[in-house]
Formats: sequence, C-alpha cells, structure tokens
Amino acid sequence: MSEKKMLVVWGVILGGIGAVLAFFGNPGNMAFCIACFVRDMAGASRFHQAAVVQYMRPEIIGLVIGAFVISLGTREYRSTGGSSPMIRFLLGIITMIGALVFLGCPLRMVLRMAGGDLNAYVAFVGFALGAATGSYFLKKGFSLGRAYDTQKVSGYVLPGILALLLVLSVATTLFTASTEGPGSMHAPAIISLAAGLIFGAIAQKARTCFAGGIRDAVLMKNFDLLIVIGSLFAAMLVYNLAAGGFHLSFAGQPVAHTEHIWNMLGMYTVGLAAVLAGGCPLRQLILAGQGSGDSAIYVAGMFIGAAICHNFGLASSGNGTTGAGRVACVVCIIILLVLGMVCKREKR
Amino acid sequence: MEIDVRGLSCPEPVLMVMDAMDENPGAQLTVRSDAAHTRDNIVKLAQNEGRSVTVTENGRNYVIQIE
Repeated sequence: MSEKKMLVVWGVILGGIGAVLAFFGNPGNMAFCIACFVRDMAGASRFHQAAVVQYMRPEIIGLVIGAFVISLGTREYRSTGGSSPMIRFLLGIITMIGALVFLGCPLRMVLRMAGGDLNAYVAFVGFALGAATGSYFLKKGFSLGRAYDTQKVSGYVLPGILALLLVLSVATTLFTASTEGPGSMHAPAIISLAAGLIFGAIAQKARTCFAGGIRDAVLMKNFDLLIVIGSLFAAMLVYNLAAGGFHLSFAGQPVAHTEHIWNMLGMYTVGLAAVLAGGCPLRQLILAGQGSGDSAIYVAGMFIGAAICHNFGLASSGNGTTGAGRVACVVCIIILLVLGMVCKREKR
Repeated sequence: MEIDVRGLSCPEPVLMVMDAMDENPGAQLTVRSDAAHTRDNIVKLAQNEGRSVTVTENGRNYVIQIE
C-alpha cells in the first residue's frame, strides 16, 4: 500500500476509535479530547473541585502507554530531556487555558467540526492562525534548544505513574467521579483503555499532530499530517451522519459556547503554543510515552493548567466565557508572542 | 557540510536542512539525527528536492547523507 493510502487508513481508524467511544458512552462531540480528559483526571484527583468534570480517563493513560510500548518495540523509545523544560511547563499551562476558553483541544475541535458545530469552524480559523504565527517564529529562528539523553528510567516515570493511577482508579475509591455532566459520561473502562492504547500506538506510528499538520503545510507544502486528520474527520462525520449526531448550528451544541472571538482566540493560543512546543497536546502525550521528559513536563503543565482554570474561574462553560478567562487568554497570547521573539536558535 | 540536529524539536531539523540546501545549492550534506521521525522528515524533504539520500545507523543515531 502506498504511504499516502496508509495515512488515510490510519486516520480512518483513529476516527473509528472516536466513534466507538461515542457509541459506548463518551460525550458525542467529546468522544476523545486530550485537554478535557486531562482536566477530568485533574478533577478526579481533586486538583480542582468542578463536580461535573471529574473522572480518571483511561483513554489518556492508554495513549501514553500505547505509545510507550510501540516505541519500545520499534526501538524509537529514547529517554531525553533538557530542552527548556520550564518553558515547556508554561506552554502546557497556557495550552490548557486556551483550550478551556474554547472548550476543547485540537482533537475535540475536529470532532466538533464533524458533528456540525460551526463554533469549531470559527475556532479552527484561530487555530490555523496560531499555528501559522508559530511557523513564522520558527522560520525566524525560534528554538527551545536541544534535548539530551537522560537516565533511561526517567522516561518510564510518566507511563509508570499513569499505570498506577489506572490500577488505583479501578481497584479503589480513591478518586472522585462525576455523577452528572460530561465527567459522568464515559465508555466502560476496558473499552476506554483499549481505545487509548490503539489510538496511542497508531498516533505514534503515523506521527499524528494537529499543529504539525498546519505547520508542515505552511513551511514545507507537505500535507501528510493533514491527510491523517482529514481522514479522522471524515470517519467521524460518517458516524455522526449515520447515528443522527450531526447538527449544523452555532447554538445548542453540547459543552460549547457561541462567543466567536473567544473561540478563535482560545484556539489561536493553543495553535501557537503547540507549534512553539513542537507538537499539539496529543503529540506531546505520544512523545512523553516514547521517552521525552520535555513532553512529560508539558503534560504536567496541562494538568496543573486544568486545576488553575477551574480553581480560578478561567474555564468557559456552555453559558460562555468568564471575565477571568478572557483576561488570562490575552495574557497567555502576549507571553507566547514574547517567547516567540526571544527564544532563538543557536548559531551554526 | 555537516548539520547536527540531535535533540531539536520538530520541525527545526527540517528547517535547518532546508536553509542549508538554499544557501548551498547542490552541496553534499551530512545530517546527524537522533530521532526516527526527524530522519523520516529529512529523507522526505531531500527526496522532494530530487536529491539522493542514504541513511546509516550509528549506534542510536542516524547519519543522513544527501548527495
């Protein structure tokens, strides 16, 4: 099979996994969302107290472990770190703030688009502009510097912690789980875990990255990553049309708001942060699974970012954005623009 | 000409190789990489430019020769 056809197949399988998760109980237009699910995990472990978004999501755990296992198999696993870790931590926090102003990561944005949510199309414009801004900084010499090999065990820490969280979530009542709202809607744990493992393994093989798709198109006129994402979108669109989940509108979309400027700016923040960090939230989880300590720090930043968003009222809801969220979003964009200008590549 | 892209995040390695190709048209380039996805992207870039590429593994790193 040609490489391009293979990318289509990977994308369709990823979209199919989204459909399976929605079928078995995940929220329809939030069948798989990196930002939302990391936020749910932060809630489950009481880092924030928003009662409707608390659940230890096996999908996220599966994603990292799936990427970890397949990268060990293909010898791509490599424990590295040291490429401006605190900037990456900050980028993780900023990503979560932008994502929760919009209400979704790039993956959920595409799922929402496939469900006919026009707000997500508005957000996509912001995301693409953010990724293009990041690409401009890269072209001008932006860099977070080199990562170096670390102790091999370092790369095992995040998959290890997540495996422990999975065991504890199944075997004990240590973690909180929502009884209503999005956090209460989930597929059976075993299906969620299997979906995460397969999604993680494929995303690792196909190098799936939402920000990278736009970045490669802008910088290199290379559309490989967009093929995967387009196929994922198409598969989910077919499922939504077949299952009656397609509703073309701005208003009345589940867990979404209609404030266009903030949908756009929220995802502009995510797109820019993702390109500066070298990958979208999904890609960061995959890279963390294959040993990148820098990506693991970014994931930790997202986790803390989720707690910040809900503890200090930055997260939007179906009712719209909050004043604090809007201010935080603008501050985040300013920080990203400053980082984009001051972090320069070493001279050859 | 030799370019060391080890440890750099995507897509910096590709941009560095693109710049080197622009600045030195037709010159032979040796790229040192430590990640499979970076290796793949650089090979694809060089092939798109109609250059011949050979990859050799050197321990855990890759040496990409662009003729």
